[in-house]
Amino acid sequence: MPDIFDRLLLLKQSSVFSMVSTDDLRMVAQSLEKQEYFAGDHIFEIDDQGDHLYILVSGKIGISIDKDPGSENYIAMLGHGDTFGEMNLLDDLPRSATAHVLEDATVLTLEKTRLRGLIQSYPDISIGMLRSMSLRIREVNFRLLSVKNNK
Amino acid sequence: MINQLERKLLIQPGERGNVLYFLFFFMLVSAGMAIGRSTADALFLKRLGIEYLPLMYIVQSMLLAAVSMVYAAFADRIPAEKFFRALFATLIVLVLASWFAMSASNNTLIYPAYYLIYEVASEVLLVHAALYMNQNMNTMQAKRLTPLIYAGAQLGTIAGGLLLVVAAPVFGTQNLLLLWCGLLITGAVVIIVRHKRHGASTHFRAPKKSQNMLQDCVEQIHQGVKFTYRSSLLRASSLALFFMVLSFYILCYSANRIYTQTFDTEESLTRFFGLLTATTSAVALFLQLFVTNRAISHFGVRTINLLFPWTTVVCLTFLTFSFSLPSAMLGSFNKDALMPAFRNPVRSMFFNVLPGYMQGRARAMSIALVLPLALMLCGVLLIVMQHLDSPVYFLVPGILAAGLYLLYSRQMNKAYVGTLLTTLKERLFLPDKHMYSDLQGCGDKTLDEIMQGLNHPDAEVAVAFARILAGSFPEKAVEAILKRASSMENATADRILNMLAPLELAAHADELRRLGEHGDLHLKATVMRLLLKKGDQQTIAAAITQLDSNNPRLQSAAIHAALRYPDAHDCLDRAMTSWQTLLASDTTSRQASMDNIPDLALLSGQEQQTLLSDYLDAFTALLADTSKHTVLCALQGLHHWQERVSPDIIAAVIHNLSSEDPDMRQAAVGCLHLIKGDQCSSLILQAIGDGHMRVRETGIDMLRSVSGDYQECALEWISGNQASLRAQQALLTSLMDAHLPGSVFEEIARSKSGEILLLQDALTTLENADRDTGNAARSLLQYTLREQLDQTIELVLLALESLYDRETIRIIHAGFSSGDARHIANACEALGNLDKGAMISNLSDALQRAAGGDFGHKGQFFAGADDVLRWCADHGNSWLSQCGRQALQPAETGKKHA
Repeated sequence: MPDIFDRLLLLKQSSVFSMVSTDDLRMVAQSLEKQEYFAGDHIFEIDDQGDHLYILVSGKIGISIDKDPGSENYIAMLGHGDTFGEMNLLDDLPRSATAHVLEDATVLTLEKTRLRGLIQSYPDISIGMLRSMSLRIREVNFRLLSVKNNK
Repeated sequence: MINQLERKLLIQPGERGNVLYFLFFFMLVSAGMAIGRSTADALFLKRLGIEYLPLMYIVQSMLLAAVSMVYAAFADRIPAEKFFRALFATLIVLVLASWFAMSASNNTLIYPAYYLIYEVASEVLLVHAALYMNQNMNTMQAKRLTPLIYAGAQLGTIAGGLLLVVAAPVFGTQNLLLLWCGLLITGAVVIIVRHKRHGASTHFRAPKKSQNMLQDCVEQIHQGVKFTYRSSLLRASSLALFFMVLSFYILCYSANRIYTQTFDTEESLTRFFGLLTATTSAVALFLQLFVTNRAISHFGVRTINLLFPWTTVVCLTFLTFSFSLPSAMLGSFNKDALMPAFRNPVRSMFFNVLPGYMQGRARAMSIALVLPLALMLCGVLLIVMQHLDSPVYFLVPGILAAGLYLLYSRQMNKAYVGTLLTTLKERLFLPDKHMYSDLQGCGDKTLDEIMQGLNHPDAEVAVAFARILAGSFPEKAVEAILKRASSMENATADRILNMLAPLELAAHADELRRLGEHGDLHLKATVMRLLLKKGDQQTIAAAITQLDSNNPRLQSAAIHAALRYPDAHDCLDRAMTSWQTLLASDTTSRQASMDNIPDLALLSGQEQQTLLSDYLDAFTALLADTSKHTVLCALQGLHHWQERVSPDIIAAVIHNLSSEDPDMRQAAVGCLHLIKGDQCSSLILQAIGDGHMRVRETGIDMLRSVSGDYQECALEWISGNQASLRAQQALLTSLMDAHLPGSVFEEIARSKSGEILLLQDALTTLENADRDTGNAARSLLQYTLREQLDQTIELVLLALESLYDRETIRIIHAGFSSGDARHIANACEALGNLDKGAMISNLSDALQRAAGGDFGHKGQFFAGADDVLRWCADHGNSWLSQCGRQALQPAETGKKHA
C-alpha cells in the first residue's frame, strides 16, 4: 500500500484526527514528516516549548511526567499508531511530559504552523478536530462517571 | 441461536444484561400484582359487596391524590431504584399487616383497606416502573425494548394468575397475601443487588435538594398543571387520561358486577380471576412480543395511540346491548390485554418526547390530580346510577367518556411531532433567531445589534458587521458605514467602502468625497471609483485631471472616467497613452491596470487589439511574480477577461487551483471560463467540492455562468454521483434557491436513500469479512464508506428541506448530527412521523440503523467483500473509487494494521 494510505490510516486512528474525513486528511497526510529516533533518545522533554505532534509508526515510547527528564517513571507506554504531543498543536504551553524512546522508533510529525495553515485553507479539518476533542472529553467524562459510580 | 433470538427481539449488542434484568424485575413485580389484584377484588366483592365499589372509587381517588403528593416530591429527585426500595418496604409491611388483621379479627373494614392498598400501590408501581425504565434507557432503546419488557411483565402476570388458579382452593384466598409479600421481598433484593453492582440509573439527573418537602410536593403538581398551558401535548394527554380513567372504571365496575353475580363463592371467583388474568395476560404477551413492535413500526405511534380508545368504545357499546358474561370478558380482554399491549407502551413514548424537566412533574400531576378527579367523578356517577333499573344509565356516560378519550387521543397525535421537535430544539440549544446573514427585513432590535457591531472598536468585527448591514439593511447602510469609515484607518476604511458599491450613493457623494480627500491616495482612488460608477459629474471632472498622475490607481480611475464618459472631456488619446504606459510599467502599475479590463469593451476593434497583447504580457508577468498578492490581482483581473489566453496563463490558473491559500483557489476558480470543454467541467466540479466554502461558492457561480443549463447539469452531477458528496451538497444547496418543483428533490432524496442502504450493506459486508482477513487498505475503505454514508445522509436531509418545513428538517438534521443517541432517537422519530409515507419511513429506518451502527440486512446487495471492493472501485466518487482500487490490490492482501 502506498505510504499515503498508511499515513491516512494512522491519522484516522489517532485521537486527534479520528473525526476528520479521510478526504480532508489527505492534505494533513502530505504534510507529515518522517523522523527516526534511537533507543535512549528523548523526543522532547518536560517544559520544552513544543511545536510538533507525533504519531508513532514503529518502536516504543515511554511517557513520564516527572520534573526530572531523566526519570524513567513512565505513566504510559506508547506503541504503533499512538499519538503524543498533540496538546501543543492547540495551546502554546510548554510540554507537560518527557517522551523517552525505549525501542528504536519511527515517528511521523506534524508541525504546528503547518497545521494552522491547513486549517485556514481547509476549515473542515478544524471542525473534525473539534469533534475529535469533544469525543475525548466525553470519554473522559464517562470514565470519571464510572470511577464515581464505582466508589 | 441466542444472537438470532436477540436480533428477532430487536436487542442490540451490549443490551442483553440490561434487558434480562428489566424482564426479570418486571416479571416479579407483575406476578405479585396479579396476586394482589385478584385477592383484593375477590375478598372485597365477596366479603363486602359490589355495591360498595363506587364508594371505594371515591376513597381511592382521595388516597391516590395524597399518595401522589408524596410521589411527586420524590419521583424525579431521587434515582428511581431508591424510590422502589422504599415503596417495596412499605408495601411489605402493609400487606403483612392486612393478612394479620384478616386472620386475627372479623372486622370487615380490613377488606376495603386491603383493596385500597392494592389499588394505590398498583398505580404508583405502574407510573414509577415507566420512570425507572426512562432513567435507564434512551428514547431509541425505549422504543425498541419497552414492548419487550412489558411482555416480561405479562409473563409475570400469567405466572401470578396460574398460581392463583392452583393455590386459591388449597390455601384460601386470604393466605395468598403472604405469597405476594414473598414476591415483594424478592423484588426488593433484586433491585438492591442490581444497583449495588451497576450504580445509579444512567439517565437520572438529580435536581437541587430542598428543605421544604411538602411545599415542594404541591409545587411539583402545580408546575405540572402549569406545563399543561405550555405544552399542547401534555394538555391533550391529561384530558385523554381523564376520560380514559372514567370509561375504564365504568368498564371495570360493569365487568365486576357481572362476575360477582356469576360466581357464588370467594374461591371460585378468585380462581376465575386467576384464570382470566392468566388468559388475558397470555394474549397481551403474544401481542407485545409479536405485534406491538411491528405495529408501532408499521403504523407509527400515532395510529396505535388510537387503538385502545376505539376498542374501549366498542366494548362499552357491547355491554350496553348485552350486559352478560361474554361482554364482561370482552371488556376484561380490552383492559387487561389491549391496554398493556398497546396503550401503555405508546403512552410512555408520548411522555418521553416531553422535555426531561417536565416528565416527572407531568406524571405526578397525572396521578395526583387527573386520575383522582376522574375516579371520583366515576364513583359519584356510579353511586347515583347503580340503583337504577338498567346498567345503560352508567354505560352510556361510559361510551361518551370513551368517545372523548378518542377525541383527545387524536389531539395528542396532532401535538406529538411538534413537541418532539420543540424538545429536540431545546435540548440542542438551537437558536430561535435566524443568523445575521438571513436578516433581511428584521426588526429594530436586530438593527441596533448590528449597529453596535459596526461601532465595535475591533476593526475586524466592525468590517464583519458592515457586510451584514449592507446585505440586510441597504437603506440604512450607507450613512452608518460612511460615519464609521471616517473614524477608521485608511486600509480598513477602504475595505468597508467597497461594500457600498451596489448601494445608492447619490445622496452621500459629498460625504464620500470628503472621506477621499482626508484619506491617502489609495482611499481616494477607491472613493473615486465608487462615485464614477454612479456617474457623479464632479468626480468625472476630477478623475480626468488624474490621467497623468503618479499614482497608478488614480491613473486607472482616470482612464476609466475618460473612456466611460468620452463626450464630457475629449481626452481619449491621452487615456490610451496612459493605459499603455500602465501596462508597460512596473508590477504596481500593471496591477492597477487590471481594474480597467472591463473598459476594453468600450474601445473600437483596432484600439482593443493594441492593448490585448499588452494585457497578455502583463498577465504572464504578474502570474509569474513571487508575491501572492500580485498573482491574486492577476487572477482577479482574468475574471473579466473574455479573450483567448496563452497556455502559460491556463497552466498558471490550474496551478493555483491547488494552492493552499483559499483566496488564490477562489481567484483561480473565477478564471475557469477561460478553459474550454471537459477540462473546464471537471475543474469546476473539483472547485465545487473544495474544502473552503468561498471556493465552493465561486465554483457554483462559475458553473452558472459557463453552463448552458445550470440546473440540468447540477442535477445530473448529483444523481450520477459524478461529484464528491461535498460538491453534491453545494450543488443541492444552490438548487434549493432555484424554486424547482418538489418532485425533483423527492427524487434526489429517494435515490440517495437507496444509496444509504447500499452503503450500509457495503459496510456490513466489509466489517464481517474483515473479522477474518484484517486488511489495512480495507480498514481505510471502511472509514471512507462510513464518511460517505454520513455525508449521503446529510445530503438526503438537505433535499428534504425543500419538501418539508425547512426549520423542522434543520432541527431533525441537528439532532442527527449531534452524535447523542437520545437526540438521534428523537430526530428519527420526528422524521418517521412526517408525511409522505414510504420514502420517509425507509429513510428513518436507515438513519436509525446508521445511528446505532447496526446496518443489518447483510448480503442484501453484495455477494461478498470482493463485490463491495469492486463496487467501490467503480464508484463515481473519485476518492471512494481510489480507496476501493487500493483495497483491491492483491499485493497488499494480508497486510495487517496494529
